[in-house]
Amino acid sequence: MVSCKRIDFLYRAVPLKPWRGWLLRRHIERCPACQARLASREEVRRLMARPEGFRDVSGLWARLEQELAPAPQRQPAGLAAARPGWQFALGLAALCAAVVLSFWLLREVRSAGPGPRVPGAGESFTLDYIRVGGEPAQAFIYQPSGSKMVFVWAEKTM
Amino acid sequence: MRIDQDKMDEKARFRDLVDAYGPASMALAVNIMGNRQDAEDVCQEAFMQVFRSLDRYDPSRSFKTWLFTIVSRRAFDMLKKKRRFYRFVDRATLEPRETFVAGADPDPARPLPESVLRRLSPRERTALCLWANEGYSAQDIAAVLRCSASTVRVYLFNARKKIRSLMENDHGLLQTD
Repeated sequence: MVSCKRIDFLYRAVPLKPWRGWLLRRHIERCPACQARLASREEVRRLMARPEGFRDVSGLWARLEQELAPAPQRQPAGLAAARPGWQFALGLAALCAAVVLSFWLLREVRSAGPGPRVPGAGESFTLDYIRVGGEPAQAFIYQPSGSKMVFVWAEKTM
Repeated sequence: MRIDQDKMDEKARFRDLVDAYGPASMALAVNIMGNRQDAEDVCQEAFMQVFRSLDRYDPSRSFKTWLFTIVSRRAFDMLKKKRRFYRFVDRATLEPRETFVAGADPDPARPLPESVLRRLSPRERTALCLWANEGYSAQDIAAVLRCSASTVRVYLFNARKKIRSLMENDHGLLQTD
């Protein structure tokens, strides 16, 4: 028992797999006391999924069969050669690229201008009267285009 | 006509392989992945890989070991992909797993209980499954996991110890009716 404790200490002390493997081979796998502290094969088997639970593999086979099904028949070589082939594909790709690019450019141009629906600072924010140090002050309201932020700047009237 | 006949023969032979090794592969995949849907995906990919690379199979090696190597690698790959996703998803939203009921003969198709799944690494689960279900030795498991036998011994020892500890501490593992 003392030996088992020493082995346990050595196992924990040196976390190297070859060393631990050697300790397991030399002692733990042969020692009944150490084996009693581990789950037995039967206990582990009862916890695990086992092959007898999957005897019916028809579901798996159906999926495999679907994947194994041959691809649609290709057209004869002569007909394929008569087609535009890669030139057609290249032209189509260029057309798609042009459409995407023009859409993007138009969107940029449209969004660059002042937004007609964005209300001015005066429309969305009003200030009746402002005083600085007990004196009437001049107030400026500024709202950047397209932003919800409003700047209020008060300036003393001399 | 001759080509069609060859294809039919090839397909029939492949079907025999699936019938013979499908159950063991499914059990291994379920034990690694923790659920049947993912295990079926893993097995489908693994068998397709086997089918496509049968000409590269070395007959001096065990076919079962070769197949288990492919299944476990596919499962590890899928787990790696899913881990990124699970980081953002609450585990509580995943399907609930049954707990182990002592005494009754458990359903052999049931995945590992959540508590065990969480405590054991995928490599530990693989080693444990091959050891318990297939009776593989540390050397055989090392051939599947492509590591040393010492490493497999450590995996098995740690996994068996964790399971024993879970059983003794009754973390839902030994629920009795």
